[in-house]
Amino acid sequence: MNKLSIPDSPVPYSSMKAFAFIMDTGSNVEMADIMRSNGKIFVVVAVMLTILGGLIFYLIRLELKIKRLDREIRHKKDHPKNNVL
Amino acid sequence: MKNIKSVWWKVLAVALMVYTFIGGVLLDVPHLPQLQESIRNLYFHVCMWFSMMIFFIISVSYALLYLKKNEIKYDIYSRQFAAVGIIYGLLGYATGIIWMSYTWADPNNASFVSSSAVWREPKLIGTALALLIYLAYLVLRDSVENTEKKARLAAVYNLFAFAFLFPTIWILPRLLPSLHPGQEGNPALNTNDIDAQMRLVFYPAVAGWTLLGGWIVTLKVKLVNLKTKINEQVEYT
Repeated sequence: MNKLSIPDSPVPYSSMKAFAFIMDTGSNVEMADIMRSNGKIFVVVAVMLTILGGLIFYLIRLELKIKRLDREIRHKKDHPKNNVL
Repeated sequence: MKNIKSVWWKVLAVALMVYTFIGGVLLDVPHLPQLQESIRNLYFHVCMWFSMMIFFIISVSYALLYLKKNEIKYDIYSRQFAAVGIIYGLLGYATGIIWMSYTWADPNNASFVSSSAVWREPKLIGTALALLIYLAYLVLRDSVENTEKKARLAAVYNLFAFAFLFPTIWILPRLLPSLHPGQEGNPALNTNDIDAQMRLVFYPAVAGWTLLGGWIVTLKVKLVNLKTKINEQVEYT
């Protein structure tokens, strides 16, 4: 990871040190530790999963619709005079 | 049995996506200055480009198959894979814009000063070129009426567009200085470049996003086949 060339942090070192007490590891990098400690991160996960679930639901609906349409067209092709399914 | 065969990889895609969304947010990542939590974008932004490249490789393979066997179904697959690849590329671009505005923008400069540095990014210009060439592929293919002519032209242009991916997104950005990581190798593939903990989510994420795109491709192919069937029936009556 150290191969990534990361520019110097805009946050001064001293102010990062002030937050050192909420860091679980020895590093001085400020992560979203507050969200983790109060559980708000699970709200983010829930929102993301809801969007994913909605998209998957939409894809399955589309798949079924296309399948039904395909069956309908096949039926019409086999019985060209009888247009009612 | 046929049903299970056609469904298992879609179930796998959903499972991998759910894992990516949960593990991508909750599992531990390296603590790095400047990047901080935004490093988790690796599971989303980088996967878009990865999957895009996979789709373009599949697309050009189908184009070659079409030229060899002259069967129209290969042309349809080639076009749909390219289209989903373009969508993934645009999403990669959009997510990159969000990410860079929080990691590259210089807080000491006015935003338009740092944005001028961002617009000169060789990686951004290169990918924009590559995507425009692929967009031209769609325009060219869909503007020809004759099916045979359309398929042959599209397949040949697809080879050209694929060849242009190499200078625009693989070679040129590596020759020029850039803020974007991955200058000296294959970004995210290099084992020194990416933390072991992150690979645990990253590789399943790539597989998940790619399978999800593949699912969309199968839907689009089915739709095109339906359209041609309807057109045939109109000709019958």
